[in-house]
Amino acid sequence: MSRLLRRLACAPLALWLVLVLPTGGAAEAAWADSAALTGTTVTAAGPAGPVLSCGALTLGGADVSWTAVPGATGYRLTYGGADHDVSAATLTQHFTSLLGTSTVTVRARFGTTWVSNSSNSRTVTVVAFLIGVCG
Amino acid sequence: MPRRAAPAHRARSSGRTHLRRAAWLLGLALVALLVVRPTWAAWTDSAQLTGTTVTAGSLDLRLDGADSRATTTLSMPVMVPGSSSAELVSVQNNGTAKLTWTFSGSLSGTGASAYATASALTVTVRSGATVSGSGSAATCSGGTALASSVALGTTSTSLVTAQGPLSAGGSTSVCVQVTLDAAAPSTLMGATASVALTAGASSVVS
Repeated sequence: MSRLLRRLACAPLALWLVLVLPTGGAAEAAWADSAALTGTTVTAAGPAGPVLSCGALTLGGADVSWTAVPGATGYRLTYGGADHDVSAATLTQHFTSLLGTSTVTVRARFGTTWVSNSSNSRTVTVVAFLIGVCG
Repeated sequence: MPRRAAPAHRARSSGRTHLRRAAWLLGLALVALLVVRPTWAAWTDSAQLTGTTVTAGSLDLRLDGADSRATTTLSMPVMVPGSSSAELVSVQNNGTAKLTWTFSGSLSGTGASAYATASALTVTVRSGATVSGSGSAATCSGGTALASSVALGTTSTSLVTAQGPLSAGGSTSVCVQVTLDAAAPSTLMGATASVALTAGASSVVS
């Protein structure tokens, strides 16, 4: 009976020797090397808005124009209390039916969610489709 | 008149003497065994296994033949949400050992933290793909996706897990695409970051 107990007590030791001890050996390590892909710099479009100016005087209305903003996908003019989106290729707006006086500003649009800061403002007055004043 | 020892006493004395002698003899025998060892000699012979030469292989991963390859079309100077750039890169095994390769990437520069926090700058890697479009509207198309829109952080981010193995002298073409997420917040406007991409190689036992 005691011999059987001794054998049972030795079993865990034998198991430890077989299963645990070998993992304490030398670690294997593969060789390693690397190569870099460098020189990639990204910058998001800045918040600076266009510069708005008065265009040439025309009969029956008034023109405003603005500077192009790099990366702009369009522009958003604000006058008469509402926003008016135009394409990226449009850099001039001709007013003929602006009865009375309105302040005009423009912002650049970048995609569907980003817009730049607002430009400087200009005041446009068009009276009865005949006389336009921008200042 | 001197008294003669009793017979019992003489017998005990004689026994002790024999024991001492026996101990001495045993000791001498042990010393003799330790000091005077016989030599044994057998006939011997040998045979050789010749002609085995071992040479360590070399591990050398390159991108288009260089350890540091500068990108030409991945940079974007004026990104807007949804902008993306793409470039083809050849991953090459310039060594003699077979290897597996991985890709990882990270951001640095003044705007790196902002991009990382917003998870707004992502990398896509496709094998066997081509570049469609150009500039900030270029994408990788076709082939097999190895990494799909993985956001870069300021610490190294695993992009592509072990690929290959690539045999000595072998190469494979991958298309790398960098994208500003379409939902990137406007707080990133004007932010600049550098994108570091690293290909890693490990030797393969074959």
